[in-house]
Amino acid sequence: MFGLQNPKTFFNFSDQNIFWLKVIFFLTAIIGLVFSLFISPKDYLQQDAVRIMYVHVPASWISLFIFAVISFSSFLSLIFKIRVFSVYAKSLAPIGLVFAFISLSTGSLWGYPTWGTFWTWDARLTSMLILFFTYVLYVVLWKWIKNYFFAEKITNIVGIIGFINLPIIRYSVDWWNTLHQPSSITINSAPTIHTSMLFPLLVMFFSFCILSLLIFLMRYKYEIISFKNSRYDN
Amino acid sequence: MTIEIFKTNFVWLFVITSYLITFFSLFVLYFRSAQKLSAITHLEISKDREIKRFSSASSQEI
Repeated sequence: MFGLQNPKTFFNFSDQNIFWLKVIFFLTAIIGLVFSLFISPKDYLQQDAVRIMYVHVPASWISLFIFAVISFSSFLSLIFKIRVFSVYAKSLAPIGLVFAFISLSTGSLWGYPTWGTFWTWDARLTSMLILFFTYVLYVVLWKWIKNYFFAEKITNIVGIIGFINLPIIRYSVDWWNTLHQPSSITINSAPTIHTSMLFPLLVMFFSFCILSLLIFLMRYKYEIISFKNSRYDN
Repeated sequence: MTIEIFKTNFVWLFVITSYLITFFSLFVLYFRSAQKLSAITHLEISKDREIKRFSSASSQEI
């Protein structure tokens, strides 16, 4: 499958492209920050508080996407016993955890000026908090369980079970009456936000994606080397 | 300019805090990952050197 089952695929890619990924991230982050903090217009209702959207929304998308990849990798690893997929999942988990944390904390900071509260137990916020704790559990299990193969099996199960939460997060705003607003950008329909706000949002999203890929490549390389070392040591 | 913004608009405090949390968290994650990778790569290089030194020393002894 696109050579993904071969550990060398990303190993070679990281050696050749880390420098260029850093350059692209740096440039897109600067453009994204300038647009989101200074050039994009104020919202007619939320005023400048809307600028939090440019970090909150991309962080939420990435944390959801990463968990979907973790679930898919866990499934392949558990069913087909292709070990490299669990290494992908293990390398991605801390990145997803940090983005879930960013999503929750910036969402909370956005909530205060717009809703008048930092936190409410509504469906979207609660399901996102569950995703954050699933990430915590996933990362902690890898740290706590010393036997690699047992840790791999348990975390694969957590990765697969955690997938149930993803559609709940996505459709929570449609299924329940929530304080959280419905999605402004969906795959099936045209976005309901103006281009002047959509552009910085997409630039920040692209920038965070590049940074995620960069961190993933470093962590993947580390995991492969340490796995190889542990096999030689035992 | 920034001071004026804070004086005139309290909302900017929330905006700036959000951006600081975001970039600080990502910065910490990036540097911890880079640090771990560089530590293990150095270990690999020193291991290789050890092996080479050991093999050359033993061949001289032989």
